[in-house]
Amino acid sequence: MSIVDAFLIGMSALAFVYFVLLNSLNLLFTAIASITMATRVRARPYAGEEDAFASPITPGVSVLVPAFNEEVGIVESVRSLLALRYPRHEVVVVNDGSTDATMERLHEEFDLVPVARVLRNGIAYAPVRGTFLSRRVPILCVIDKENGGRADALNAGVDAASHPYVCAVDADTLLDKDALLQVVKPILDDPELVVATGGSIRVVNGSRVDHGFVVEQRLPRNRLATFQTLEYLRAFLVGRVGWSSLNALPLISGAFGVFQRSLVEAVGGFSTKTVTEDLELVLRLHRYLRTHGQPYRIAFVSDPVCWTEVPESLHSLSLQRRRWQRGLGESLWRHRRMIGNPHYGAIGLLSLPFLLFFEFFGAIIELGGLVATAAAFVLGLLSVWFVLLFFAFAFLLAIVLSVAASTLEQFGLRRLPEARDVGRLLAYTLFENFGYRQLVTVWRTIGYVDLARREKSWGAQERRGFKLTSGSEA
Amino acid sequence: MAALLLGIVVLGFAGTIGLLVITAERVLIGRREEQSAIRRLTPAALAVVFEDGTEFPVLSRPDALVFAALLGEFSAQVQGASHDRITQYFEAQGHVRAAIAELSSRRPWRRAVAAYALGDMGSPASVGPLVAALDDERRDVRSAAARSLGQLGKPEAVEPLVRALSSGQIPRGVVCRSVLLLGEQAVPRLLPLLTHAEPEVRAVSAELIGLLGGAREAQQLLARLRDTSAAVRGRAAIALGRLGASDAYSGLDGTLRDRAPAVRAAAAEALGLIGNAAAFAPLREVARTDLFEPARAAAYALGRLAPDLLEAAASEPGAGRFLREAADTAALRARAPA
Repeated sequence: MSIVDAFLIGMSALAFVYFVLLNSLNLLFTAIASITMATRVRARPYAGEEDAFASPITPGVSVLVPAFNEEVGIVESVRSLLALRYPRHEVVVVNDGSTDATMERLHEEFDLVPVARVLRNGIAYAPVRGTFLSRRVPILCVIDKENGGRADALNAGVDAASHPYVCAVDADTLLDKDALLQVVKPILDDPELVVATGGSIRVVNGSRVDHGFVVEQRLPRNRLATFQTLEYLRAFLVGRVGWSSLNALPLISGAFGVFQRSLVEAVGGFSTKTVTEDLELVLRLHRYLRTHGQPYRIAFVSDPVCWTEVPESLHSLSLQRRRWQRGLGESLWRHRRMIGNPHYGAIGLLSLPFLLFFEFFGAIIELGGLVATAAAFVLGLLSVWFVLLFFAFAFLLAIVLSVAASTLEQFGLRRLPEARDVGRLLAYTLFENFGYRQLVTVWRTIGYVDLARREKSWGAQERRGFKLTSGSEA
Repeated sequence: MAALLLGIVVLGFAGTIGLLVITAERVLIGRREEQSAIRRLTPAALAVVFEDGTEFPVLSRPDALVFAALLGEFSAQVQGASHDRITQYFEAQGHVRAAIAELSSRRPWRRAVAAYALGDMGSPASVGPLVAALDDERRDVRSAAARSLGQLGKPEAVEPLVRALSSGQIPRGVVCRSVLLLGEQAVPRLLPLLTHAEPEVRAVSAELIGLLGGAREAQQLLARLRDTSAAVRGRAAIALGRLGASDAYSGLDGTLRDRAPAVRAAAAEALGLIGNAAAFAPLREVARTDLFEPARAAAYALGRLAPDLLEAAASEPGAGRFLREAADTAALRARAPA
């Protein structure tokens, strides 16, 4: 056997082992998620959210909205955040040196007045140009600062926050009316233990939006966005639920997460040195709390939903996936001492090795395995039946996992009420295996190159904005 | 052979997918039927709640469950005769008896649902079984029982709930909400907890007394301003402010010099709430010279204490940034459209 033959066979074998391990874990997580979802559905009658809403001891939450060139959707987004059903919350919008009319839109809509709000200066961030309060809405504060990136803007928000908990959201997202109350509930029930929580992120493209709230979820018409709908379902209803039940949640999405403010300050705030500051912060929290021997829980709650606009063009999507891959690499490198380290419990022994092997190196293993298997087949090193069986198994298992995630959605949340949308989503579980997944793998592989080149930019992001009229589509 | 294997794999997966799709469809249909029943039964439920002498409807089992859920929801929102009519319905239809029996179910979620529902049913007969459920092996059940005992508001529930507060068997946030539902009657049992060995228990007791008690509890809370735990001192200060205990001024004035900034902030906030004019000078001093949290709290407390004097205090030389912020915010709110 030549060296090339051995390499091809070896690469195929590695891809096979990777595939078996990944899918076994995914099946395990699907089982855990099914049990957790069933428990949550049964627990809904006694969740007691109304009691929490009415209670005078429910702590305040500052909702932080970093905004860079968000003139299209900022007003609608802020309106929806102001109208959240929560007994004590404020909205802190941080204009991160926008070059468009973001500040003008906020001034026009909310009648902002300059008020010299004193900032703690507990965390470093780019200089602040001014702070404003709204004449119309007492719970709105706007910080206008020089551009420093999303993490930098969030740090300014944390510094300006009045309440003991901060909720980081994106300016291009919408929350369900009860989402904040639901996501904070684990903290309200057990404030001594739960230090951070995150909720589900869903794709808003195609859905009906009315006065800043999603009134009816529909599937996007755009194919790329529909594929991402499936990805988000798998990631949030299966992956996050599974990791949370092991108390090893490595990530709370930056688009919707609640954190104890003092703890964020204690770990130095959001990192400006990476493009995935959400992952980096959660890993740092785990590290800090484990190092200090403090019992804690970082929880994921599947019910509260945050709606986000996903990229609809190949270019934007490729930039996003490359950025995620790059950020993952940066965070793993920064926390490399935690990987496989029993001192960090389940996060060190399970989550981080998973992120390293399946999420970070997964792209190269998948792509290499695909190419090697095809080449080995062409060279006659693998039988046609082996190749057929392998791909049939791989694709069909992927379909089962996607269908299971969609079923969980229907069973547990049922945000997709139209039967034809459910049918279309199920059809996409089939199509995504022929082209889309491979394309994402290629983008993730390019992410390695970006990482090696120490690329720092986020890349331009397109915003369509949420239409304001009743019954319109986002 | 390989073709056969491939066929089996394909069929196996197709079967699994089919099963999952059918499950999802069944759930979908079930939910639609439930929604339809809610729309259909809401008028009858409202009649039971608001119209005296309404005959209880005879319903099929699925409809009866939806009807009970509707009445359960209304129960938390109404009081007096309406609430009594809801309790009568649940007692007459055997729901109370059934839920009490469910507290012994082998399935924890059934016990938790029953424990929670009993609170909405409002029957005094459920107090004993719910107290027993506070010792259930599952946290969900204990939490639901605690909430329902608070909801029922009976004196027999005070002792076990306050005990749960100190035992830590139920998440403290849940018990605190339940104790708050009990109201003023819980205060005498909370007072001994102010000297509990665990600082967190002393702190939440102080907070609850501040929310439920009256000025007569001020002396016990004042003693907690000298507690070894900063959390207890802070919550005691806030509680004194909430009670509006005017004789707490001297104690809180001293607490403005506490070594913990958070306690100084709490004391400042409390002085603002009490509204004693003598607090103006010490609060102004804290607002001018202290660290972020106490200085800011003192500045806003001054706004509450003497809104007319705030602008002048903020305009004085060396007033500092906190007084300026508080004055500007107060002016903005004063000019804000109603």
